[in-house]
Amino acid sequence: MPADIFNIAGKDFSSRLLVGTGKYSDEREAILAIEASEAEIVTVAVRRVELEKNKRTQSILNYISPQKYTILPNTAGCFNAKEAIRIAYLGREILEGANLLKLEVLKDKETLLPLMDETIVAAKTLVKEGFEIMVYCTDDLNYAKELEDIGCVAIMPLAAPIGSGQGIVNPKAISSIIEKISCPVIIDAGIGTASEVAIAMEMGCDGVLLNSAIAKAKNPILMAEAMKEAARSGRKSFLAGRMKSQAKANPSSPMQGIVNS
Amino acid sequence: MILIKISLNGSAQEIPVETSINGLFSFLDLSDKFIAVELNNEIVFRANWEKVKLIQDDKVEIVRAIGGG
Repeated sequence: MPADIFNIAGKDFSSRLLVGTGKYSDEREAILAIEASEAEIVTVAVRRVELEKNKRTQSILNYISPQKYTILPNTAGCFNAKEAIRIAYLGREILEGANLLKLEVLKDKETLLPLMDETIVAAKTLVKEGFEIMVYCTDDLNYAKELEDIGCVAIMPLAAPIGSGQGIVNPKAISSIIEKISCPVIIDAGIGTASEVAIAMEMGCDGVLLNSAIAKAKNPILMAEAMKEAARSGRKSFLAGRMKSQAKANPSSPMQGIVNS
Repeated sequence: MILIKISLNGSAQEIPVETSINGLFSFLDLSDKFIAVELNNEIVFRANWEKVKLIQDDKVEIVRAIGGG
């Protein structure tokens, strides 16, 4: 099989699994799980430094190194375009000028669903300012098209609400985005287990971004491996092209030459 | 020592007069690696951290990357 390269913003990646770094019980678990996932693109959040000395912890970038991983700062926790743009600049500064960004603007704290009008406003400004944005969005094709036209480097519709682990609740909508959008389509949020990653990849998604499904598994490191294998397996299955589903049985062993009395 | 009052990450903080951004990191005994600084809602680029001196009522934000999805 020829090399199956995944390109985001002009950079080639071999892994189609992108992972978050939140919700781990400690640093060691995060490091081991992220290593086991073999993800190359890793998301982080931007927050205030803890000023009280006894509450300080080391920067996540000391152990999830920007030299080893492509770090994708997110705008999680932003509820309008202005806040998201501010966080985008801070993230770029933390990463010494790296332009890749995961844009997310949320509707409210309860649903954590994307607020699309503000997402579009932020996307327009950030693309003009030279950011390469991967955008968390609803599974509405019209918004996906608008984001593609603005010049986003990846469209990232949710499978289900963030952290819910429900799997792909609206596969038809995701399929129509895959069909009509030519930039990479990455499922972001809502995945609960490895088979759902495989299904997303078999549908033709270019990648899957997840966090809780690994971090909240009983054994995060083992689940990280499962996710890695599911992404690969699903991708191969998509490239191989599945057989047609048929109503009738069709024997795999020839019906001729059967030994009978 | 003359002190001035600034707002730091949303809390009041007293610092010596004529403190630069670099000086603020030393004063707080804070690592400046993988950090971004905002002064009165504008980013201060690292190259200017020595040059910029904080004044009374400045609003400073110091942010970093943490675990997130």
